[in-house]
Amino acid sequence: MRRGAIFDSSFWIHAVYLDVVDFLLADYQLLCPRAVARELGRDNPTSLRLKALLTAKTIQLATPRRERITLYGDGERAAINLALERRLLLFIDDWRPYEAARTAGVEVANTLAYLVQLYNQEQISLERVLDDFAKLARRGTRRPEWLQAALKLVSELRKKGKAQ
Amino acid sequence: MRKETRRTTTVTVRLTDEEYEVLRRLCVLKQTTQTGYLTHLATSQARKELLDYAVEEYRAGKASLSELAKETGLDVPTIMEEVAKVTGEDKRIVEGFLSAVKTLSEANEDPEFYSLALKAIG
Repeated sequence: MRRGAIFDSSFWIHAVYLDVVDFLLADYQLLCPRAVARELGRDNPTSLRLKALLTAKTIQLATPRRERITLYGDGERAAINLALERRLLLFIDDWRPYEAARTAGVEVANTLAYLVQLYNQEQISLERVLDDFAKLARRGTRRPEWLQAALKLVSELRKKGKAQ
Repeated sequence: MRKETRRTTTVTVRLTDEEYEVLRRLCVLKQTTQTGYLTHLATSQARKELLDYAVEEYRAGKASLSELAKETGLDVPTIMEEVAKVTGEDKRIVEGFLSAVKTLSEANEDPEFYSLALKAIG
C-alpha cells in the first residue's frame, strides 16, 4: 500500500519542473491542501498538471480541521497543519516553513531528498540525478547547503555501490 | 447569454499642464485614449513592482513563497519563475555547484561524477 503524503506549492512546482510527478504518484497517495491549489494560480503548467490529477481523483484535496501552526502563508500553513493532523509525510521545499514544520514534529522531505531516494532505488540514473541537481542549482530556489548535502549523499551512495 | 459585467473603481490623477500635454500628445500618436493608456501603464508597472518586491524579499530570506503570494496577490509559480530568472543570471551559483561536485569527485577518485555534472551544466 502506498504511503500518504502532503505537499506544498514550492515542492509541487519543482516536482512538475523536474518531471518526477509520475514517480511520486507511484510511491505515495498524495493529498493537496486546498490553499496550496489556490496559490498555484490558474493558467500555468504546474497548476494545470495539478488540476488534471485532481479531476481524475488521482490526488485528493483536503483542508486541516484546526490550525496549530499560525505562521507563514496560507498554503504552507495548511500543508503543515494537515501533516500534523493526519501524521503524514510533508514534502516542502521552502526552507523557512520546512524548518518550522520539522520543529513542530512533522516528518518532512524535499525535492532533493526525493531525488536521492529515486537514485538509491535505481529508479533514476546518476546522469539524471546530477542533471536535476544542476537544474535546481540554476534556479536558485534551494538552499545551497541542501544541494551540497544531497550531492554528498549521492556521491557516497555511488561509492558504496561501486564497492559492492 | 448574460454579459459579464466587471466592477470598476475610479482613480483620479491630477496632472500639471505640461504633464498633461505629454500624455495628450502620446495618446494622439498611439491612437489610444488617455484612460486606457494610464490604466495599462499603472497596472503593468504595479504588477512588475510587486514581482520585484517578492523576488527581493524571497532572495533575502525575509519571507516564504506562500507569504509573498498572499501579500502580493501573485501566484507562487509566477514568483518562483521570476526568482529562477534572476538567479539564473548569477554565475556564482553554478560555480558553487560544480566546485562541490569537483571536491567530491576528487575525494572519491571518481572522475565520472564530475564529468557528468559538467555535462548537466552544459
